[in-house]
Amino acid sequence: MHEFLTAFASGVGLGSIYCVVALGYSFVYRTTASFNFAQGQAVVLGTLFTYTFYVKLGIPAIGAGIAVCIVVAAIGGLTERVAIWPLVRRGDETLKWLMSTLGMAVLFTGASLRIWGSDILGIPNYLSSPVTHFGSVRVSSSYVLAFAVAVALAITIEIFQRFTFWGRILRAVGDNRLAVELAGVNVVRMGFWAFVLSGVLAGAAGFVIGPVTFADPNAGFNFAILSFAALAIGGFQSHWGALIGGFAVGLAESLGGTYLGLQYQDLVVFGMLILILVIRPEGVMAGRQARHV
Amino acid sequence: MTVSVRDPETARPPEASRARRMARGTLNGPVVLTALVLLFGLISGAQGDLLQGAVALTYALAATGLGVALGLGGEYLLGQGAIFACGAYVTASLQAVHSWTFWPAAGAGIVAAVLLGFLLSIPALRVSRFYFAMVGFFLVYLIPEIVQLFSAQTGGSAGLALPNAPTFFGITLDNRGMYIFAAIALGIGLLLIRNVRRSPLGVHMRRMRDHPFVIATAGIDVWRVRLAIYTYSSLLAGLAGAIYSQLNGYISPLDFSVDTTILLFAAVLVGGRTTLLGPTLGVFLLYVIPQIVINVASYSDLIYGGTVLFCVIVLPEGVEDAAIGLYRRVRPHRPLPASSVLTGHGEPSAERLAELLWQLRDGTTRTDPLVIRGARKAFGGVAALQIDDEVAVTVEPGQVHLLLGPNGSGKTTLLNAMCGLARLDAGSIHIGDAEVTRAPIAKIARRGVGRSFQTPRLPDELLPRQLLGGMLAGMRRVSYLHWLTSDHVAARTRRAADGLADEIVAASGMGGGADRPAIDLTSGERRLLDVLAALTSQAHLILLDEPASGLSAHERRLLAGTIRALAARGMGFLVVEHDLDLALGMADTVTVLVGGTVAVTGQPSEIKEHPYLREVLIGVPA
Repeated sequence: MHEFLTAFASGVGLGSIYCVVALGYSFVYRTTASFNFAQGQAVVLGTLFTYTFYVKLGIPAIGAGIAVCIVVAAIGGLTERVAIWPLVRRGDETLKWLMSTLGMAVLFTGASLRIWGSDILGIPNYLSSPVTHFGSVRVSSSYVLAFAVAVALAITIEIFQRFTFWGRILRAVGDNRLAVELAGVNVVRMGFWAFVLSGVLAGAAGFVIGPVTFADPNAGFNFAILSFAALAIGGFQSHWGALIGGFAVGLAESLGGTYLGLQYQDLVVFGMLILILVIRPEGVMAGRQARHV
Repeated sequence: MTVSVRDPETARPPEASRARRMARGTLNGPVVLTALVLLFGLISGAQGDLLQGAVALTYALAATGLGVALGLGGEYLLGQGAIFACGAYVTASLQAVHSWTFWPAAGAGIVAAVLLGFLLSIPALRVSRFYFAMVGFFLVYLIPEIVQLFSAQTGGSAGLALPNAPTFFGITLDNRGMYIFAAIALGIGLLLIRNVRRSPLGVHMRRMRDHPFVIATAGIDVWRVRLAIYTYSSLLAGLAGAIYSQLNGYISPLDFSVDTTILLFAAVLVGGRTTLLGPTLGVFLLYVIPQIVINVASYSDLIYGGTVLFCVIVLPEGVEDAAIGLYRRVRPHRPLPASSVLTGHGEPSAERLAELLWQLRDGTTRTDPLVIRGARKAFGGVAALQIDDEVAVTVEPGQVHLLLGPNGSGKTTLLNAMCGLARLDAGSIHIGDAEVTRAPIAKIARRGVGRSFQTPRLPDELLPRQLLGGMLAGMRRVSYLHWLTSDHVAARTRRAADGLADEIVAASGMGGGADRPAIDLTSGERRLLDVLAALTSQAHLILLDEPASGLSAHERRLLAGTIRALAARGMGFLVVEHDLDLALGMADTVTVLVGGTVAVTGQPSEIKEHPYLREVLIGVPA
C-alpha cells in the first residue's frame, strides 16, 4: 500500500510536470490549430536558461524565472517568424506547420547541444524544504510547486480566454480562422502573439520543472511526444484536457515504472494512447472535432 | 479493355507524343542511376567508402518507400524509421539467435516490416493525418524500449552481433558484395515504384491524397488504396532494414534513433516528394555529400533540421522541381498551339466524342434507373432537403434530367445523397431493384453511378492522359501485385488506356492542354477534364454538378452535344446547371428545387413558361 501511495504521489507530481508542458502545447493548438513540435525544445531552453540565470549567474529565483520567460517568449516569436509566417503567407495547409516546426525543433536541439554541451545540468530546489510530507508519503517540494503552477496556469488561461478581449479573439482564431479574418482581425499578427505567449508558458514550465527534470538538452522530443500523448488522451480542445491527460500520463509512467520496470514507462503510455485512439478518438474531455484536425 | 478506336483521320496530335516522350524520359532513370551507383562500387577500392555507400543506399531505399507514402499518398508516415528498424531486427535476430541463414531471415524481416506497416495503417484509417504522424513518431521514439522488452531476441541496449556475413551461392558477401547487393535492391525498388507511379493505382493514390472521397465516387475503395500505400512503403523499408542489419555485423538501438527518421524525411522533402528519384537524390545531398566534404557526423542534426525547415518553407516541391522551374524561366513554354476549339477550325464533333466514349464501355448495357424518394437531410438542425415522402427524383438511362433551383435550394445535397457522400436522415435510394440508401460510396459507384464536382478535383501534377488512362483502367479491381510487377497484362492495359485517353483528349478539343499537367490547364480545360473523367468510368448514370461553368461558348456546345449523344445511346444524366438556355436545350425532364423541396417537375417547354419558375430563377414577377 505504501509502495502504491508513493508511486501514486510521484505520478501526480510527474503528471503536474506534463500538465505544465502540455498546457503550452494546447494553448498553441487552440489558438493556431497546429501542433508546434518545437514547444518541447522551448521548454528545454527554459530549463537551460534557468540553469544559466539561476545557477551560473546567481540571479534570485523570482528574477531568474521572469528573465527565462522573457527569453523563451522571444524564442517563441522567432519560431513563428521563421517556421510559420512564410507558410501562412503562402496559404499552406496547417499540416505543413508540423514539418517546419519539426525542423525548428531539431535546430533548437542542435543549438542547445553546442551551447550547453550534452551533459545534464542540475538545478537546485527553489524552496527551503526539499521534501513535503503527506502522512507517510514523502513528496518532493518541486512536485508540489509544479502541481500548484499547473492548476494556477490552467485557471489563468481559462480566465484569459473566457473574459478578456484578446483571449477571446485568440480562441476564435483557432476555432475559425477565416471568419475572424473576415471580421477584420489581423490573424497573422494574432498567430505571432499566440506563439509569444506559448513561449512564456514554455519558459514558465522550464523554470518550474527544472529542479525535477534538470536541464537536459536532449529532452525536447521526450516532452513533445508525451505532451502529444497527454493531449490526445485528455482532448485537444480544452486546457482541462491537458490537465487530465498530463496526470494520466504521469500516473501511467509512475505506476508502470513501479510495477513493470522503469524501462517500460513510455510503452505503457503508448498502450494507453492507442487504447484511447481506438475507443474514444476525440479524447476524454471530448472536444467534438479533435480527430479532424 | 480490348476496345480500340482508331480514326485514321485524326493522327495523334504532336502534343500528346511529346507528353509520351517526357514519360519515357523518366523511364530509364532508375536503370541509369543504378548503373552509376554500381560503377562506383566496382571501381572504388576503399572498404570504408563501400560500407558508407551501402548504408546510404539502404537509406535511399527506405526514403523511396517514404516518398510513396508522403508524395503519392500524402500520408505523414513518421513511423518509417520504426518499420526500417523492424526489418533490420527481425532479420538479425533470426540469424544471431535462431541460426537462420541470411536469405530466409531477410524474407521474414520484410514480412514483419510489412505487417508493422499494416498495423500502423489501422489508426490511420480512424484518426486524422496529424494524429497518425504523431503515433508513428512515438513508435520511433519507443524503439529502445521495445528492443529492451525483447532483449532475449534483440540483445537489448547492448546490441546484437551477427555470427557471419551473408553468402550468395557460396560467395561470402564482403563490403563490396553488400554494396552491389544494396545497389541492385535500390534499382529494383525504384523500378517497382516507377511501375506503381505510372499505374492507374498511382493515379488513384494521387487523387486520394488531394480529396479522399473523390476516388470512392469512381467506385474505388479508399482503404484499399491506403493499404497499398503502406504495403509499398513498408516493403521497401523492410528490405532496406534487412540489408542494413548486415553491414556492420552488429546492430543496436542507436542505429535507429529519431535522427534516422528525420534524415529520411528531410531526404524526401529536399529531393522532391512527388518525384521518383527525389528521395535518393535527397539522401545523396544530405548524407553522402556531408560524409565526403566534411567528415561530420557531429553536424548532421543541424543539417537535417535546417534542411527540413528550408525545404518546407522555400522549396515545397524539392530541388528537382525547383530546377525544372528555373529551367522553365530560362526557356519558357512555347506559345500553345491554338486548340481547335478556340479557333473554330475543325470544331471537334460531339458525335465523335460520344461515340468514342460509348465504345469504351464494357458492352454490358445496364438499364437500372436511380430513384431517390422522400429525401430529407439536415445539417446542424438546418434542413437542406425536405422532400415529401411520396415525391421521387429519378435518373433514367437515355434521359437527361435537369435540376434547377436558387442557391441553397439543396441541389448539391441531393447529388451528394445520390452517390452516398451525404447520408440521408430519411428517405430511400434505389438503383433498379437494389436498395442503396445506406450503401458505401464506392459500392453505389460500382452499381453504375458516376459524378463530377462543382470544383474540379484533379491532382496538380498529372497530365490529362495520365488521369484519363487511370480512370479507363481503374474500374477493374485494384490488385497490388498486378501493378507492382507490371507484367505484360498491366503494360498492355496501360498502353491501351493511354492511347484511348489521347484520343479522348484530342476529340474533346483539349489538344492544346494534352502536354500540360492539370495545374497549368485553363479553368475550362480543367472542367472538361473532370467531366471526361466521370464519363470514362463504366457508370451508366452520371451526375454532373455545374459542368458548363467556366467553359467557352464552343466548349459548352460540345459538352451539351456530347451529353445528348450519350443519352441517345442509353446513358442517363442528372445535371445541375445555371446556364438556362444551354441546360433547357438538352434536358428531357426538369425538376426545380426551392428551399429543399420539389417545386415543379415537367418538360423543358412547360418549365420555360412556368410563372413560378420565372419568378424564382429569373426574378421576373409572375
